[in-house]
Amino acid sequence: MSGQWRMFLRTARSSVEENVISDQYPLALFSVTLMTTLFILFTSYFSGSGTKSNLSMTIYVVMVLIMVYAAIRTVSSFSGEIDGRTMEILFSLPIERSTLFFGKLTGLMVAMVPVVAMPFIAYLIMLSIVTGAVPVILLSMAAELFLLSVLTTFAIIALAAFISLLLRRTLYSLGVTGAYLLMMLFISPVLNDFSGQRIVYAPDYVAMFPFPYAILAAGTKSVRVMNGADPVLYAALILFTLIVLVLGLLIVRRMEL
Amino acid sequence: MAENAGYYESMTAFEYLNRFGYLHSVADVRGRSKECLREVGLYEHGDERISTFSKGMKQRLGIARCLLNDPELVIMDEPLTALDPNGKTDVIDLITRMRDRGATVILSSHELRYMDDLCDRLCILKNGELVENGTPESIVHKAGSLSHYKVLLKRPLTNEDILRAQFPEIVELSCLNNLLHLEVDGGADFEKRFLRFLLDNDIEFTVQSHQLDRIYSDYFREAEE
Repeated sequence: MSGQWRMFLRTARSSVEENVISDQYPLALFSVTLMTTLFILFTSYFSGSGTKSNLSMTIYVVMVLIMVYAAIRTVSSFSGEIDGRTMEILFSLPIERSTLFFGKLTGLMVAMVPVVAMPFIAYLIMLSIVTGAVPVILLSMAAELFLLSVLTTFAIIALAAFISLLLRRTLYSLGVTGAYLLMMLFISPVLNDFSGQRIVYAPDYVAMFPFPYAILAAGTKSVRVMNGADPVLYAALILFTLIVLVLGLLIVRRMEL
Repeated sequence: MAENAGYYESMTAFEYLNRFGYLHSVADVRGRSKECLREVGLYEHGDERISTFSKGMKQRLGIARCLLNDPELVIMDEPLTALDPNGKTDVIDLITRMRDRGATVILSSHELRYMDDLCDRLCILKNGELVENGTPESIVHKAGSLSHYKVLLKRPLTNEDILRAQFPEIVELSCLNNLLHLEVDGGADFEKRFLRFLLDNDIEFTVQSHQLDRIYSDYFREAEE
């Protein structure tokens, strides 16, 4: 294994440890589990809506919390290091900046996977307790939604990293990332209306990335997520993530502290 | 080691060194971290959070981080800044030990009074240009035959003329309150004779002689003028 690959793995592991041992991590796991449980109980009792709708609604609400948490962790991992003057120590290590950048991001993404998985696990456990068995179709839908949730979280992490490196200051980065998330929450239903309901997606939170999604979806008659995910949706999220990653990399390579 | 470098305040000193040891690919990271903590005198504080450390302790922790991979070259930016006298002594002692172990230490500092004992070579930079380069002794020698002394007396001097008569090599003498400033031209045994004079006359005193500080100030005073 080459030296930089080894350093990448070391940086990624170090970043996972840094995130997992943070005080907020167990709190985040607990919060998303509690929120999922309460939301399922609430919607099942009051709305009596179907199981599929329940799952997508629950994930939508919990994902807002997860995305905010992912953004906070990412901003503190980049802007926080610049503000706290620890980034210059990291830059003095025998690690290439691109390796450091991707190592930190990978660590963040890996650390976020259990947080994203928690609501799904909580949902499926609750369902199996109530109904005695989980339908196979629901399992496949959960797997599909989980993959989309993970990709969405990765996209938010990449975006927050880019904003952090661009603005450098923790407070500004948190403000701009938060404003983006809020804006997307409000804009997505409007864009969906404009599209004449051509874009059909189950988890509404995917609409938090309407620009690449809408552009790519414009060429198709409709993009369906439920009952068989459309590859365009995955491609849009991956493309968005890659673009912001490249932009972030360009900044980190030219950065002067 | 950067001036005012940041630390992961929520980590303990031991976790901090482990992290950097791991990134430096140090073999037996935990053992080496303990060794370095012991070396800088922080072993007892290894499990304490860095946020509870004083500036001097953080500086020592920074040095421990530098020692992790046993480097041949250490570059330090103002390692003595904002430290109390004890902290300065500790850091100077650590730098001396690094040097004695064979590492080359390049450091920038405005605390010149400590540099003549600490450094083998010394450079003075003015507006980014090298204006002096040599051993501390050679720089002092090159600066001229005038020597400057500050003598802190227990009592104010009553008669300056006695001093002038006794020591003709004194070219400038001023006394403000209890602080006596002397500028002396030549007189190889001046210091010995002067000390003898003070002792014979039962004058209690403290001598402060910081030639490097003066040489440095002279360079920058010239620029201002």
